[in-house]
Amino acid sequence: MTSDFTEFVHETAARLHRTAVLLTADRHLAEDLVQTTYARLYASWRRVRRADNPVGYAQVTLTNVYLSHRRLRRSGELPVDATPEPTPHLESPDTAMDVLAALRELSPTDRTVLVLRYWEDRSVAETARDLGISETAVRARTKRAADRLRVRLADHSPIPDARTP
Amino acid sequence: MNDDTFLTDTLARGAADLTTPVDEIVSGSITAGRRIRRRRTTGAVLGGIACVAAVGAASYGVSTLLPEEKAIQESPGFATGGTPTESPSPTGLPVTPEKETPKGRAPVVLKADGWTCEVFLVDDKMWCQGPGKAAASVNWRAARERAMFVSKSTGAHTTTPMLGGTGDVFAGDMVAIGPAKGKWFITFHGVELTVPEINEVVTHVAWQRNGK
Repeated sequence: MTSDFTEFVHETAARLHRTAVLLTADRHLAEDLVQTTYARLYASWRRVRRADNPVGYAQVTLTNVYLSHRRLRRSGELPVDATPEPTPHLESPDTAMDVLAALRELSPTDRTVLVLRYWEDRSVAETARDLGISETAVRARTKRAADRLRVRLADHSPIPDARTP
Repeated sequence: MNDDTFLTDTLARGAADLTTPVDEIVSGSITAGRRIRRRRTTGAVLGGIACVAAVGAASYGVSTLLPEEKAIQESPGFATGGTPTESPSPTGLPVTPEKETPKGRAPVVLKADGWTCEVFLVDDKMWCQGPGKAAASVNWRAARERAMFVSKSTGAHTTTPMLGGTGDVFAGDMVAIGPAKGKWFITFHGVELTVPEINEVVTHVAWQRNGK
C-alpha cells in the first residue's frame, strides 16, 4: 500500500505543488497544504486508489484543504471598507516571485478562480460549482483579476472580455 | 495579448522554478496520514466503548429503580449485572497510543497580550490572532528539515532571539524560523505584521513541557 502511495506522490507531487503555490502565492504554505492533502489521501488510500481519477481526486482535495485553511483564517479577519489599491508595477515582472507577489494582491477567491480556470483548465460551470458561486461571479472575478494582474505586472496590452466557456 | 493567453502565461511563470521536495512530502504525509487513521480508529473505538458504557449505565439505573431482584431478572432487554465491563475494540486490536500521537497540545505556546491561538494538531500548526488584523500561523516541524527550510526562504535575512536561542527571519516570506529543540523547530508566518513586530511577538513563544 505504501509503495503504491509513494509512487502516486512521485508522479503527481510536482503538479500539485505548483497548483498549491498559485493558490496560496506562498511557497511555504503551499508545501504545508500539499503535505496535508497527501496525508488525507493516505488516510483513505484504499478508497482513493480505486477512484476513477485519483489525480483529479487529489486536485479537488487540495482545493478543499486550501479553502478550509482560508475559512479558518477568515474567521479572524476583519472586513474593510475597500480593497487597497495595488502598489505600483514591479520593476521586472518576469520572475516567479514577482508573479507570486502580484497574485498575493488578489483576493483568495479571485486567485482560486484563476487557478481553477487557467491552470486546472476547468470550465466556468465547474469552477462555479467547486467554489459555490455563480457563473456570473466566476466571469466577473476572472475579469477583475486579469485587470489587476495586468496593472501589477505592467502589461498594458488591451483587455478583451473575460473568457467564456 | 488576450486574457486567456495572458492568464495562462502568468500562472505558468508563477509556478516556474519550483523544486518539489517529494521525498519529504512522502514521509511527512505518510506520518500525518497514519495519525489521521489512528484518530479515526481511536474515535470509533471510544465511541463503541461509550455506547457500551451508556447501555451498562442505563441498565444499572433501571436496576436501582426496580423494587425486587425478581423484577430485574424478568426485565427484558437489560443486562442484569449492573456493572459495565470493558469491551474489546471493534477491530479486535488493543488501542494503545503510539509515541508520536499528539498529547492534545502543541509543543509551543504563544502568550502575549491581545493574542489568542487555536491549535490544529492534525496539521501540526496553530493559528494565532493578534490585535487588529495581525495574525500568524505557527507550525512545528521536524528538526531535521530546518536547514532545508532556511535555505528555501527568501528576502532580507536577519536574526532574532526566540525560544531560548536564535531565530532566522526572512522579510520576503515574513517568516521567523526558530531554533531546533529535540525533534522540533517552529516557523512563525506573520500576517499583517512587520519584521520588527514579528521579532517582538516571537519573544512570547515558549516551548511547552511535555508537548508533542
